[in-house]
Amino acid sequence: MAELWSRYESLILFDPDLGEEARTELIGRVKEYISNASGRILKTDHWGLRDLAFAMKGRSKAYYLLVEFAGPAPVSTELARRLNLLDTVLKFQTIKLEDRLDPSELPGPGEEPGVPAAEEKAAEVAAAARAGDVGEAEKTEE
Amino acid sequence: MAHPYRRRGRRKVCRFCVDPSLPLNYKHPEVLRQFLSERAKIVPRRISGNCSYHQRLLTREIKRARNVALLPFTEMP
Ligand SMILES: [Zn+2]
Repeated sequence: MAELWSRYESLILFDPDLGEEARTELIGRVKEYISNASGRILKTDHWGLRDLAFAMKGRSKAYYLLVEFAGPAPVSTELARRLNLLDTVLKFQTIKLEDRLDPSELPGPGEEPGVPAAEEKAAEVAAAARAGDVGEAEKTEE
Repeated sequence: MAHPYRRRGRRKVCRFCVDPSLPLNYKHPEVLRQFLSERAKIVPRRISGNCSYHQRLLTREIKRARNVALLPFTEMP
C-alpha cells in the first residue's frame, strides 16, 4: 500500500524588518523545505504585516504567512527543524488538518502552487476588487 | 426591575450552537476575543453559556491563537 500523507497548515511569523526582496527569497526557501521533504504546497496566504498581541524577540509586528501543504509524516518535523534554525522567523505553528490521505487524490504539483500561483493570486485580487472587496484585495499583496 | 428568579443579564445559550456560521478557529481572533475577560483570561462556560463541546474547541483555538500572538496571554485592564 502506498504511503499515506497528511495535510498541514503552518502560520509563520517573519521578522517585520526584512526588506521585500529578502522576505520573498526567504519564503521561497521555506517552500523548498517543504518540497525537498517530499511535501506539496497546496496554498499560501499572505496576511502581511500585523500587530502582535504581545512583543516577541523585541518586535511588535510580524509578517504573517499561512502555508497549507501535504506530505508524508516527516515533512512537518523537517519544516519545524529548518524554521527553528532561522532567526528571521519569530515564531511558527503547524497544525495537522487531515491525515491518512492518498497522495494521488491531492492536486498535483504545479496545478495550484508554483509560478502560476502569482497570476492566480493576482486574478483573485482583481476579482475581489471587482466585487468591491477592497480590504481583502489590499491584504493579499503578493 | 430584576425578577428574583431570573439570572442576571447572562445569556445561557451556546453562541456556536446557535450560529454554526460563527467561525471557531484561531485564524479568527476577533471571534475568540469575545470569550476573553478584561485580563485576557478565558471566560468559563458557566458565564459564557457555551456547551462543553464548543468550550473545549474554544480553549484549544484560543491557545493556538496565543501561540502566534493573535491573542494575548494576559492583559492589564
Ligand atoms: Zn455549542
